[in-house]
Amino acid sequence: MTLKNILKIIKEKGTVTLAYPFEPEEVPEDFRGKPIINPDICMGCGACANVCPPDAIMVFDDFEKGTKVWRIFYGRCIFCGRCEEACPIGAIKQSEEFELASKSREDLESIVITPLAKCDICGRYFIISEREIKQALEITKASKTIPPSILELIENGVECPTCKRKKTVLSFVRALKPFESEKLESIPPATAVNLVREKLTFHSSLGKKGEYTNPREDNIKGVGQNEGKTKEKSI
Amino acid sequence: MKEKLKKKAYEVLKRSVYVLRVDTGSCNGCEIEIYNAFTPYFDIERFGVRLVYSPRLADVLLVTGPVTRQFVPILKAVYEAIPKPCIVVACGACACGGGIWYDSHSIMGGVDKLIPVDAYIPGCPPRPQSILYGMLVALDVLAQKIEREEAIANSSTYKPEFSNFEGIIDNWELYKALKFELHRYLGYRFGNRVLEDLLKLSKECSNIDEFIEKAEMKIQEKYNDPRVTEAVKFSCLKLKDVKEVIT
Amino acid sequence: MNKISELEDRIKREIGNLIMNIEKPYPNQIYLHVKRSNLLEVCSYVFYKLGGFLSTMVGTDERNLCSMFTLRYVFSIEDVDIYDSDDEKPWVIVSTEIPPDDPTFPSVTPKIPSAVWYEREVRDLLGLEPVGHPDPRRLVLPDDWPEGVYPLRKEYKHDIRPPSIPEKYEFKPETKGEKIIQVPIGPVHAAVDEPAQFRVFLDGEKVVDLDYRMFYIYRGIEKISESRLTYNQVPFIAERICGICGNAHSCCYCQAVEQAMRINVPERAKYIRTIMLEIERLHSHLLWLGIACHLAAFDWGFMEFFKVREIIMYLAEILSGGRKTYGINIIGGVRRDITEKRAEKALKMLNEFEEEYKKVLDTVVSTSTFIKRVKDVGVLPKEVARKTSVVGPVARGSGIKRDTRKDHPYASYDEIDFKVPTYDDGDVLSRALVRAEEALESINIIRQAIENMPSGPIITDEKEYINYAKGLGAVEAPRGEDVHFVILGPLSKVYRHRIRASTYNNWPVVPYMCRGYTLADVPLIIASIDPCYSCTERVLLIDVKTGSRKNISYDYLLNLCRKGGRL
Repeated sequence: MTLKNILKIIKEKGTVTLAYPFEPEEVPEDFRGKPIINPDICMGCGACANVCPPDAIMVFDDFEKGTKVWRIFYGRCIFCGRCEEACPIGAIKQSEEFELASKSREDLESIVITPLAKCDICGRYFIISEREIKQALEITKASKTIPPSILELIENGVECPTCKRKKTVLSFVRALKPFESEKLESIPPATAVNLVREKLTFHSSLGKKGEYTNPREDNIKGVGQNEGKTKEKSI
Repeated sequence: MKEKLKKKAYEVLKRSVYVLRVDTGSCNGCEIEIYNAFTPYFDIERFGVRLVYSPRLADVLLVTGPVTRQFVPILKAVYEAIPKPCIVVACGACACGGGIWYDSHSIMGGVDKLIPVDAYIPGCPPRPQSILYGMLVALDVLAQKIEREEAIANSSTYKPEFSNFEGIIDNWELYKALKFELHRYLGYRFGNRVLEDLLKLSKECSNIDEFIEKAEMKIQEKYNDPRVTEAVKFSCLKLKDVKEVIT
Repeated sequence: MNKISELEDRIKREIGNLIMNIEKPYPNQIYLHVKRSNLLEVCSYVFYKLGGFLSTMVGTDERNLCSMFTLRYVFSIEDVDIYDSDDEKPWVIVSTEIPPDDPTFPSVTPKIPSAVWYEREVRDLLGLEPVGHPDPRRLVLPDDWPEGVYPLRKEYKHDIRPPSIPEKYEFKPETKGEKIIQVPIGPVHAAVDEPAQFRVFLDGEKVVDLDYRMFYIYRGIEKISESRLTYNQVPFIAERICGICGNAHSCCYCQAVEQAMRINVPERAKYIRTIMLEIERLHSHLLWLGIACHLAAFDWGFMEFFKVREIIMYLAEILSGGRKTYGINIIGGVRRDITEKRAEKALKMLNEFEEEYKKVLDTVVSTSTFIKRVKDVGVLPKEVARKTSVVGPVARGSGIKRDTRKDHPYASYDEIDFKVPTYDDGDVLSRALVRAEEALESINIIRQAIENMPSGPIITDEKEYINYAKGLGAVEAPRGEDVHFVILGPLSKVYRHRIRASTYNNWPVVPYMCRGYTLADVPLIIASIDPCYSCTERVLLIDVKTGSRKNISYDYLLNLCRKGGRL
């Protein structure tokens, strides 16, 4: 009885083996295959590296040469699709390729090198890439809620985080200069904060011009600053 | 192409190849796909590749799993027991580079930290067709398709995205609202595809109500799917709300 | 809701003097804070008098929060006198604190046998010593791990690998005798597998005892979830805990975090999660049926089940982009939608699948050689199953009706109509029939879900991030109940993630089930609890008396198994 059933089922089915690899294989729509980066669009922001769970995508900054190296290692990729989900401009997308076998480890890597931006004040490379700044400019121009003062700020020149920090410290120092003779500890904290806030000038870079001066004029030596390399910026 | 491939396969693999499968601590996903590759549906046995259960008989060592600490002496013993020359194939993301736990305290981090590897098959888990292709690459029947790519991205020739917003969607906030609303209804991948169609359409319309009508019609025509049309309708309504808030 | 306050009153009445305070952060969870010395009494009360099953036990290093270690025993109250099988059941969590200068606690294993592995694990990973434990051997860490280094303590950085120390693991049988032969099996296996080493103690041909050394695949997942990954990346690592029930783990984790963050997942996302969970159940049960046929020497059934299973794998690929790892769950909802066209295709493929599956199943079940091989083998009596808190088809095959989809409803199971098959014999055949019928029920559930799917978004952004909030999630994976316990932490990371996979509760029962049967039945019995894997490989027979060794090949053992060593 059972044997008859079995033979009947076998006769109905025939051959089931797929023709791959003799014929190409079609994958369904939205198949999660190999993620491919488009170097013409990528701006090196690193959002994909941030969300990648196995760290298959990594971004390395070289501040000496001024390059940002984006690297994907397909050997560790888990094909989850988080990079495509996180990319703000659609530079990395999952394709339909699944034939990824390789004989050497180097063939499983893909690299994109973008140049880093230079600070207009101290002349050193910092962590943002040039493409990101251009993209930020475009988005700011196209936005209705970001105030135009930010646009002027970016167009006037780019400053690195170290220079920004220095500016903040200098503003505090300048604000507290009148109290140098008295002991600062004798002022109650709330009063001190209010006084500083009135004199504070670093927020003014968002609105007014002309508040920032060259550190050399104030006779205060910057941290690790080389005299010859500073660009003098007249606003 | 079919005849050439068959001929090459028979030339190179004059006899059967015996494969020993070792699992060094994987989650078993790759094991099941290897098992599937040996069933009649995908049938790797057409090429004379057979599974055996003893290291002394094997020609190929197929390893899966990131090598766990408990397993290190066992893998070394198995590798020494296999008669050389032998081909080592690392299958899956864990074996190729450690996988999602590449820096854990009880993992060595990939098979090539212990034994030399001849071929890598990435995937998590790799499809049975991928495993078939990988075995043929390891045995030199097929040539590999992937190669290392290096690109240098200049900024002087860079043309930023969003450099011209035209039509109805003429600022960054509207674009963001539409994109995330479509993601909320259709998921990121399908939503991005529909977004491209809508952006093209927005350049041809002159006011937002016309856009909403035309959008529904065009999407229904292209995808013919009530769920997609409904999602587009809700997203466009949200777009209208956001536009009113901004202006 | 009424029943919860009744339960609370009953607890206060009966053991109110032993409890320091009672907390209820969520509508159906009761936290009892007790002193270390009262732990055994309170746990026995909850287990026996209230009818609780031990679901999981979590040990946490909270020394930078309250300068103590904490232990939490999680019980699921399923007393058949109070609750019907279709009611929602509450959780009771007994928690206690342990000072760091005296890291010991009274072990509850002598009274509650299900806690045996949990306490060994806490001893390995956190260094808390259970006093009075009958079997305090190393469980989880590798054999060459140095003493005194505890990975789950907060001061241990996740990627440090300490140097090796030579150590040997001792196998101990419970029954002793003169003519006992030890047969080691593993760890390199031929069938689909996890490496694990088994030692079978034989007297002639009969199995006297079985011991094992598991955890060859300890990868340190809980430590990675706390240190390197943010809370939104953890579903991807949770999916790779197990190769067959990965989607259930990621869904469970997402549910635990959503409870802690008080997120209301949209209705449509719940239905999509239900559909993907049932698709996973189908492919897992078919895989098991194929392997059971293979071990019972019925290879035709094996090939046919695998062929029919391919339809489901293709369906999963259409709906989620991958055959086995779906990557569809994320905190707040799902990542992909099921459009109408895909839903129609899914219904067509399900119809095709149902026809073919029924044909193959009818043929297999009417084959007398297969039935004789699995009937009355590996019997697990109901009382033993109750005391050891087994889960899944193992429990349902022994007459205990436990199913998380009815006991603690999640996703959209409370709106769908389905049955839970139960059999009373407790042998391998009952478990096989439970799985075969569940597969048919799954098809029914998927059809209902597709027809009633509501419209709306599939993901939501509204959440409340409260530092150190706790959440508990439970899901019915194909093998049984999965429970994840989560404590949120600062910097978008998880402070403690405790995973309890379903087979964890089922493994301690295997030695009991194997006693009294022959060596040839061992593979089938081990496979019947559906460990994420089956077993056996190259076997080394050692004759204890003369010291001679004989190598048996896999084929010999497989043939022995297939011929049915039992007369």
